[in-house]
Amino acid sequence: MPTEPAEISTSRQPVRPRVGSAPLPLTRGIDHTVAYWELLSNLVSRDLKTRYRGSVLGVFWSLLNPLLLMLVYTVVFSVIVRVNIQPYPIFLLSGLVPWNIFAQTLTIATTSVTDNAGIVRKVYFPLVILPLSAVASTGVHMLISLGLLAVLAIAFHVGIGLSLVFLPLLVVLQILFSTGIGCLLAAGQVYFRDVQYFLSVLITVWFFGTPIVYSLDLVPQRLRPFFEANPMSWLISSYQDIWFYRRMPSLLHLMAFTVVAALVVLVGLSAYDRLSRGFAEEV
Amino acid sequence: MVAAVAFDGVSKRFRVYRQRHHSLKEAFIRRRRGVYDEFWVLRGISFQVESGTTLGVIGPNGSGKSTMLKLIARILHPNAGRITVGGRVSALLELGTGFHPDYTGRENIYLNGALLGLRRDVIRARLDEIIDFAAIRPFIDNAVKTYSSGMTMRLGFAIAVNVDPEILLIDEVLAVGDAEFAQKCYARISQFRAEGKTIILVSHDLDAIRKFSDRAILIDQGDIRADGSPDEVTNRYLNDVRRRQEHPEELADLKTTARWGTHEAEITRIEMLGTDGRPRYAFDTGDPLEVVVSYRCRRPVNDPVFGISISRADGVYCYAANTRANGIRIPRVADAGTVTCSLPQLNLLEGSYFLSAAITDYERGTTFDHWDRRVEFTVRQKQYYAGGVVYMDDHWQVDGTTPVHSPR
Ligand SMILES: Nc1ncnc2c1ncn2[C@@H]1O[C@H](COP(=O)(O)OP(=O)(O)OP(=O)(O)O)[C@@H](O)[C@H]1O
Ligand SMILES: [Mg+2]
Repeated sequence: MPTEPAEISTSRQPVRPRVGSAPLPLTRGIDHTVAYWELLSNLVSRDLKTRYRGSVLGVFWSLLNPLLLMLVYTVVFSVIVRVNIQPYPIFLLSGLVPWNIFAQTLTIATTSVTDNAGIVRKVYFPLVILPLSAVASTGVHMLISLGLLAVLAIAFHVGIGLSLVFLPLLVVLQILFSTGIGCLLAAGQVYFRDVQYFLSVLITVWFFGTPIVYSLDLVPQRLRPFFEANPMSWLISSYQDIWFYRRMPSLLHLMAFTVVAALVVLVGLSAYDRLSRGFAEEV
Repeated sequence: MVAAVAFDGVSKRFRVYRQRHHSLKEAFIRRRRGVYDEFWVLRGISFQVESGTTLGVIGPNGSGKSTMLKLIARILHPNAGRITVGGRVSALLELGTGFHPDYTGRENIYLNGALLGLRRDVIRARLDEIIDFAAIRPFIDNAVKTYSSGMTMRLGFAIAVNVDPEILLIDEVLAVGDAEFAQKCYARISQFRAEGKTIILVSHDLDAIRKFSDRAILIDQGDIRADGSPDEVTNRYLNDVRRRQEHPEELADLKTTARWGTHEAEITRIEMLGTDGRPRYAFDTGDPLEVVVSYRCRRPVNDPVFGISISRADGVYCYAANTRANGIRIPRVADAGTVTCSLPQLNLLEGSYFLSAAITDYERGTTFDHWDRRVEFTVRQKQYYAGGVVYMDDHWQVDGTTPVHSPR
């Protein structure tokens, strides 16, 4: 545990000299993240072990879901509805894989504090680790799924191009964005237990409002603005650019998403930091 | 003197939800997050623990001892006041918290150690010591769910005392496991004391308090009732307990609050505030104060009367006042609000008192809500004025001779 004196005070009290000498760290959040790095990795590996119990089979089950969805959407959109995107499976997966990770991150992060109520009530540790471990463990998951995507891209003769140098940037931006939202949801869930139900509805609506199973060109012109205003469209279309179209992502989309992700993560972390003071008694 | 832990006027309040909506949907519909009572578990307590000493903390169940330790450990945060902690804290609040049942003992040592802020290499270096201390080597690679509860506690204790704290908080987990392990725990605590660590020990085992602490405090109803040598304080506590048993009518009966009424309008909170606007529970004779009654009602209520009353701990009815008697008529209240009664000076003499509040109907006198003996407070005389219940501002005159003024 950090050795600085605990600062616990309220606004009505005058500031008095502290007992002890170590200064108060300015960036409590960052400081904790470093000191408790190992706790984070412990929690992530605990989560991964539970999820991938029986290793090979575990990975198989976790990949089965996107593969099945791919099959279903492929049948629906290239056999029944006949969307003119070829090869449709790669187009679909290039957006579906990051979307699934995004949705999974939010879902796990939302209940990350309430699921760990036992330790939140009894042990002092930086509580931001809880949603962060959700983000980190789905991040590992994302790497596995992206590997699968690369294999399929080659198998379908789309190949992988130089445009993939943008992939790490997109992954980082997505992680920032989901960290911010995940923190807000996790804190909300402590105070309102139906946030998780609200979220599952939101995710479904958001999924169909984002060009994943269809492309933006198929959206009627007068509805476009709504779709264009959705930050996830910017991210997903960038993924489609680099995987499917094998071209550079739109600079406008990239920059806009960077700004939004940075804002969301700042707001999310600071709101979480403030709200987390009440977790031990409210959870 | 270097204080390892210092409390300065620390108050902690909990909300007890009577009807918790606890859902976004309800919150949108009703625009609030549930009906709750606020109650102060700690009421402005101050104390210091000198570095390298052991403080014993005793008090009845629910008096706020564990809450105090959680505040020191920064698990909870105070609503007022200031807490200063100089040193690395390890809290033995509940052993084995954070163990994963499917993990082996060894894996759990790493997981729990990380939770307590230990680095992996530090844990690895202490692994043998922890396993030997817990004396569970044959089982260390079995899943923790197969352990007996005593074994789980031993492992938890062994990890927590190996965090190498500067300040150790112990809540009722002094002697866990069988007799042999309990001896080991005691020996370990003695060793910590010899090493000059600061320990705060909460226990109902008064012998352990006498044996291990350098000083003790007694907490009751959120206040420090006694602070001194362990012998003095534990005796005081035993006396209190005895008195309560011998005169149950004096305390048990009268202390319990009672409540009745139709609840068309409800009292949500009764507070006594000092001149600084902060809640107070101890006054001197002559102090000004305000009583604030918060209420809420589901539907608007016509013509309510708000009243308060004070009775002494032994049951003597001392004072009652209400808005109607004060010539105030309130046509209608809706939703929620507060009613404040100011008393420019509290003319009660020394003693323990209870404050009650009620909302009744102006015409019919129906009781909407009567909350009896909701707040306990004490009054002291700074200097001796008089005996009895009330101070009457007496003046004396002696005929035939000129009295000499003599300060007491
Ligand atoms: N999270 C919470 N929400 C509401 N009330 C709480 C909460 N935690 C504790 N309380 C209440 O605060 C009071 C003090 O609790 P605390 O655990 O500090 O008592 P204690 O002195 O440790 O008692 P014991 O001797 O039984 O361990 C109790 O009335 C308890 O019900
Ligand atoms: Mg307790």
